[in-house]
Amino acid sequence: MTLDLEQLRTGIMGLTPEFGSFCLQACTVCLEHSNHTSGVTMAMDGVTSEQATLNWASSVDSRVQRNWSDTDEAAEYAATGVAILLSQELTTFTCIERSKKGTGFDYWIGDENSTGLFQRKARLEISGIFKASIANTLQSRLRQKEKQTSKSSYLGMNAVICVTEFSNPQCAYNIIA
Amino acid sequence: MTVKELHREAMRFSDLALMAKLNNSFNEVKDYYNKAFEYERQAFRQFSSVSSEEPTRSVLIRSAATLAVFAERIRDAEKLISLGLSGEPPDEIADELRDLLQQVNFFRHLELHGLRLSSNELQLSLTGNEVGHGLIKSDEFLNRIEIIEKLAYRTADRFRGKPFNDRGRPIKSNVLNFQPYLSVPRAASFAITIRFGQEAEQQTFQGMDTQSALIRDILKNIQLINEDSYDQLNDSIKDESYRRNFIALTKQLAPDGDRIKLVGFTSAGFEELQTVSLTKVGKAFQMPSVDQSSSPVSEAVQLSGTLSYADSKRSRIKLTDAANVDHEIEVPQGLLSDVVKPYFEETVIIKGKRNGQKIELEDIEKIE
Repeated sequence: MTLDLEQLRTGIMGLTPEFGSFCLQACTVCLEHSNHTSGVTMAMDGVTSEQATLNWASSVDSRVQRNWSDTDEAAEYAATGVAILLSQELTTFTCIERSKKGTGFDYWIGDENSTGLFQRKARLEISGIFKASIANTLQSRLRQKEKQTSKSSYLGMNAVICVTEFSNPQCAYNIIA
Repeated sequence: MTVKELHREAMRFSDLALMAKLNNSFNEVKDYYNKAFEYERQAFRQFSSVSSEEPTRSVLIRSAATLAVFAERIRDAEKLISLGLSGEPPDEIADELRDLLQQVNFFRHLELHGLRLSSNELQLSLTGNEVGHGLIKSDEFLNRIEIIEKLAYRTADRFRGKPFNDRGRPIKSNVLNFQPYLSVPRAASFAITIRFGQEAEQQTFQGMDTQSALIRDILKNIQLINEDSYDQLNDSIKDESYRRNFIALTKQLAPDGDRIKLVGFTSAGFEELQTVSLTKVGKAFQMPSVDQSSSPVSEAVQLSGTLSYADSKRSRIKLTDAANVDHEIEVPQGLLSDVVKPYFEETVIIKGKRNGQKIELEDIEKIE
């Protein structure tokens, strides 16, 4: 599977091109910080174990690097970019809606033509890790997200969880029944 | 415009605010959040005129109220949250609305409600799950008072042009004018006045005494850290040891996101009240890297264990891990006395850089 990160610029899954470009920049900052170049492979877990090749053309100059000095924030938006592309690739859903929550957003995934904004959509829980450590692994973050998702079970719908680590690219994309 | 179009326009302006913030165009940020708020509120009004279906109703309200907070329209946020809670929001979103209301109330508590602050006084306000109305878990409060005391002494020494000193206790005559005195706590979330120096009023013009300069400097630097403006912080605190010390102490002062959710300060300022909210949680702080110029080949390390030994003369500590192995760690100037020492015999996580056999400390956190 190949993920073209540049596709984020075009405003896929109902998201704005501005937001896509923002996530693309975060992706390249996180990946290039760990000296990865376009074509790096990302191990996958969850609905697929087929590894993903990440391609991009944008470059990260020192100004962009300086602007993304908060690496946790960069990892969260980079993970959002990856989750958007994987949702397009791995599910039949056509739309991601957002709403403002805290300093970031919460995300809902479903179909563009369904009634209303957030009805009949599943929660899309996204998380990013800039560089995994003993205390902060992909698996521990995944468990944390699964726990959060159980709180949303009132919806009676699936939830989708996508956690991405960028220093040694790996991603878990799970659909929770 | 339809509800969906209005909502998406709100998100587009919110995206523009994010990008303006990233590019340090701070004047544009508030304008974009203001526009985003107007569109999101209109989306909610239009939706609620035909439907009360959940979760759309409460998600739109929470989103509009959050954007109102970012646009500094606190009263509009309060009205929306009240509307949201008066309906039947799902439990999870109701909790999120309550958290947001707590944040909105916190901004109110930063106001003084008739109390007058002298120029050498600072109001500290705290809110979070360990804070009741006028009550607080003692260590959450006392630790922060101790940190403010350290920030004041270090800032005073920096003002006087003294080199950073990591050993021993502050000399009494040096700190006399900056000794903090505490008022009776007020039931705001939890608020208290801290006065620097014994005199209620300094014999100088309002805002011109050294204590008010010290308060202004501390609050300015806390705000820079909260906004991730580390380049400006480098200009404000030029000495690396003082800067490292200030960031590490502010990290300890910062909210943890649960027990303490917000830490706020109010001071008299020159002409009007100055308020600063420290909202960034401690875990999100970036500690400055140790200087790599002498040895560019280094790897990031993270160790956990008990802080078992400290040598102030050599600026070294020992961490004993679970296998009873000791790791010797060099502590850069600015951290040993104020930041590392309080963790002695505690179980901690240490982050640092390894160059060959040498590990140099960058950050230390207590394991809860």
